[in-house]
Amino acid sequence: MYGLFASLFVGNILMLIIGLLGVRLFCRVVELPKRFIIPVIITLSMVGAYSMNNSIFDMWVCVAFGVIGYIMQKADMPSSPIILAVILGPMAESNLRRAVLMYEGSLLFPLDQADRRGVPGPCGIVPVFILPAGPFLVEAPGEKKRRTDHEGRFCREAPQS
Amino acid sequence: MVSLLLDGLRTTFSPGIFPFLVIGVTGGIVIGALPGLTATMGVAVLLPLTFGMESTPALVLLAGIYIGAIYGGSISAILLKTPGTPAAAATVLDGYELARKGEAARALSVSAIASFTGGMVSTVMLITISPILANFALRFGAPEYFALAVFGLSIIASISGKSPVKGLLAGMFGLLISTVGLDPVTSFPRFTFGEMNLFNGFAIIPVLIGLFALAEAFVQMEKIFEPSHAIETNFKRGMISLKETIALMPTMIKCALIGTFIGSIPGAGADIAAFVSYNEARRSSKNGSEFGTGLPRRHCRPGSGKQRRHRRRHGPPAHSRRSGGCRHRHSPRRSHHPGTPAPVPFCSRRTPT
Repeated sequence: MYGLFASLFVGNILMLIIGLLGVRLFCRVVELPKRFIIPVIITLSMVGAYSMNNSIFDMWVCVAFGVIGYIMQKADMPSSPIILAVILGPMAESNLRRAVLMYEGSLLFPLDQADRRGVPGPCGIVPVFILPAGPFLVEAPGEKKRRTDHEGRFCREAPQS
Repeated sequence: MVSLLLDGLRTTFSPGIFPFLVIGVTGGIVIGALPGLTATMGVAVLLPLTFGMESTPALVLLAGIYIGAIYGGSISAILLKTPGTPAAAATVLDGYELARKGEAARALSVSAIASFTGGMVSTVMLITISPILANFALRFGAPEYFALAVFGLSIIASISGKSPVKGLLAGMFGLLISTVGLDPVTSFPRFTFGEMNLFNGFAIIPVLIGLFALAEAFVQMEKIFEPSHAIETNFKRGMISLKETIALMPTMIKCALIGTFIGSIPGAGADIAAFVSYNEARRSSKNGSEFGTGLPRRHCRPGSGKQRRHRRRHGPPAHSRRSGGCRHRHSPRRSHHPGTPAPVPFCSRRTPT
């Protein structure tokens, strides 16, 4: 057991050494001409999409999302929220369903006082549902200033400085 | 305990074990860097090879792969905008921007150091307080998971960049996508249009690769015949300085702790941990609004967050992508989590991590 723990430490140190030594090597990838690197990326991507489930269908999914991602980039939309939602969506959904079942169809489970499992009850959970709305409702004090540029004109994006 | 650890070190450096660690870490970096080959998958694929080995070298090999693969995932995320593992998706946000500014070397070195810090912190936690973490994790029930997921979704606010509306739109689209497939409770097929392949829903890996790697490749293709304006990598500015590293330490350690905590919850993997860490790093940073534009700090957070996740995974082995999880598979610690399903090498589509 402790051999494993020790090897975790040593493994991390090795990773750091290899990582730092390899930085120069890895960086040369970006110096390659695009016409070589892009086909390689596409090939590896397709192989990666296929290999997860050995599924040709997944390759089409990958291509479809490539197009969606391309359009989103053109529209200046961030694509990482999609990833976050795809990761968390099933977790949120199935656990909500399960929680509602546990509380016999009541959606008020966050308010449950009878703390069955020894986990923080309402005080712990309720804010979690309220806080997320914050950033969208309240603008931080400094934020407004940044919305005007140096000449005081109103602009949509924060000035670079 | 120290003497036990020293004993362990002696084992680690013994000629029968050390080479496996080196091979594992090196191979893991390669596996992690390849899109689609995640840390979990690397471990799963190599698992049969270890059947003929003694248990210690086998565990060490798998742990090495896991450690390497987690760092490897951020290499391709930084250089090519192709997250090698879902956990590296948060690394793309700033890492790729840094690389585009010509600071790829800096981004890579920060990410290596952050992964290292995260790994060390989580190993210490694994050794010292993992039973406590495991106890805590076991008490997580459906309402708590739901709350965690909602909290995770709130991070959309900090990763949407300039326009929260566009970020919310993207997030809602993602949630819509995640409803495709069989209903988790009643198994009613939704949005499948009779297509059998959609019954499992969209797997995260193809979506991730498509959205980041392929989309970026398509964008780059527009300029494919222009004279290569290859990113100039400035090696002089390149590596991160010691001073900067020290300045980043508190962030990295904090993110490592967050990662460990989240990772210890079964089902919450490194990817969630990375996003939460990223969010926290951004929130607590004075120039949070510059996040996403290529500050080195950001970078670290996803990096160390990932490693934390490692740790977390250590806790509840079920879904762990990281080697942590894999280690657990073999370790007696697994018994801490009787409630969690045994880790399956070939993950279901929904939980590839």
